Amino acid sequence: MTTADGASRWALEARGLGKRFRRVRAVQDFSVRIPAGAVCGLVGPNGAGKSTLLGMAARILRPTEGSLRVFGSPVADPAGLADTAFLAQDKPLFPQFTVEDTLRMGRELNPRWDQAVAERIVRSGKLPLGARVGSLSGGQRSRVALALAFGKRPRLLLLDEPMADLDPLAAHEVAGLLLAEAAEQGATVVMSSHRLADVATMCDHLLAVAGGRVRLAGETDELLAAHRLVTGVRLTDGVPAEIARHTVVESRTTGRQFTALIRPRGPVEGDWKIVEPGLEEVLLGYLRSPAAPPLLTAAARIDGPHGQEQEDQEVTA
Amino acid sequence: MSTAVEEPLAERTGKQPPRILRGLPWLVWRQHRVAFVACLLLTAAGCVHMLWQRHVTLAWLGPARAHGPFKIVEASGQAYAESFQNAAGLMSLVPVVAGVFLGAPLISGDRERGTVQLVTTQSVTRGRWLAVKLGVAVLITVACSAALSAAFTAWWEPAHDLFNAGDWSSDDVFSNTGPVPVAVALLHLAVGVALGLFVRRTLLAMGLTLGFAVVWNLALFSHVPHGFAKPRVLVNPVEEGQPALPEGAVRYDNWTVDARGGLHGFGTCFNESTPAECRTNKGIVAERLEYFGYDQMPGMQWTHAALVLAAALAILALTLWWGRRRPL
Repeated sequence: MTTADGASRWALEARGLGKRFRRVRAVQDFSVRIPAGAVCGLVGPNGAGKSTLLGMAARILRPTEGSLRVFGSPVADPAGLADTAFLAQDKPLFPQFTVEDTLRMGRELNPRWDQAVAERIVRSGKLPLGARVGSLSGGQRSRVALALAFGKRPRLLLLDEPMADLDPLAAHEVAGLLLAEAAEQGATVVMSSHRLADVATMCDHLLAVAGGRVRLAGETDELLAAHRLVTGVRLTDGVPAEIARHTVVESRTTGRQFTALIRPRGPVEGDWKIVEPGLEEVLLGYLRSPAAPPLLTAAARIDGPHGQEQEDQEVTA
Repeated sequence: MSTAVEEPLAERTGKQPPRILRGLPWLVWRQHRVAFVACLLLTAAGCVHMLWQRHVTLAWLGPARAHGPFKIVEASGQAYAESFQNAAGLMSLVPVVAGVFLGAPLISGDRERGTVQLVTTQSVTRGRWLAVKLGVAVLITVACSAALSAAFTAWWEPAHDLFNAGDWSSDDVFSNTGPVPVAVALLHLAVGVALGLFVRRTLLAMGLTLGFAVVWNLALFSHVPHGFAKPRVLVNPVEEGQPALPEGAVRYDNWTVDARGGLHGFGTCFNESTPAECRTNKGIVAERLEYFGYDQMPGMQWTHAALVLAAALAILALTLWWGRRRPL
């Protein structure tokens, strides 16, 4: 699974990954991989295990089961420390440090530190370098935290709700910054977000989790293309037979109108209006229907002793 | 690296202080510099004060000794006992400061603010970060407590038979001179750090450490030193009265002794109308004094300090092991 130059094609590979906090299993039986270079959105309801997954990849939490590899090496390998940058949800920084001190911390603690990149990010936000971090606004703090993350020149950038507490303007700015820097450095980005609109515009890969398990994983385009939204007049109770032949993720009846999100196996017969769903419709469909079988595209699927979640093979439809 | 055209800020502004500390030591110093600098300044002030007092003490001590014992006691008792007691009181706060203000916030502050995650997701492991943090705090604690102890000892030593009425086994002298303050300060630091690691709240950790300091003081108040050496014995025939305490020694116990070597309480026959008859009846023939010689003091202090130091190091090692064991 390595390219010609020896680097792993996969930024993250989880096999049977699990994390248990005392009695609660935050993540279980998690097998998925994210290719290098992806900008991957991590979505799911509160408590789905998103932060736990990011924490394990960032070496803040230790997995209790399974294995997690970052660029081919086990996550516990300290040699990989310089490869990963992590931005926690509350963006902890030392409040008594100035912006300059904060960047100096990055310089002192990271072997590949790029002061010019970090300063460019700070300066483009018109932040005074002498300002104390504690006196900055939320958006400015996010910018400093991002400068610290990008100055590290990571190959993998893990972001936990990077835009959650920002106003729309600051969120837009941070999103632009993120994509521009990630593209320039060729970094892989994994970001959790509750804002589906952000995920839709920023991410080319998707990882949806619920209840600590994978629900959807793979390239956004491919995931969307694998689904159809069918709408029509309801003639019988329950899911009509010609729809039930396909994998029904979610179905709904409003009056006489029947709507279903399906993964078609072959052509859909009958008098149905068929459209390709948007990202939001697919995501909501999966998050609302815990019983629907998960879907992993070929790129996201791991074949091996732990990969039990891939009974659905019709993705290429 | 396409942006290398822009000069890094440090070189551009030109008014940067020289980069003496690097890496984690820099971070630890920068993060805790207010506390560290305060400790160093207080230490410097304390040392200057005590060395000045030593100078003053030596100035009256020489002439007073030349004029005989009465003059000495008069001079020390009236003018200088109070400043010495005050200094001893402040010296006994050194471990409290080390534990409550250096130790307790050291890790709990980072846990409370989440900056543990910030530091350990840079390119350093949690174990290295903790080790450097503990190392710098230990260094500051040892430097400050050793300097203060040296200054206090230098002040007390020339007048050791006068200050605190010559009783060096009490907390005021025994715990504040020689190696003892260093070891006790390190123990308090270690307890503070360990509590901070476990309870996560800085204020709570500080309170618990203060509680430990109080318990430590109560538990050890003037009891501990006597266990670290064997008292020496002087015996006098009863007619000569109690043996005189040797120069610089500390009284441990007095007994009366009968002809068969049996020990009786110090006050036996004391309140009788005819003490001599009472003693004859009981067969008491000698008075016995148990004491610690002044030359025994360093041995007792070093033994005490070694035990305390071992406990401190054990707690620090446990803290480090526990702290690095949990996440990666």
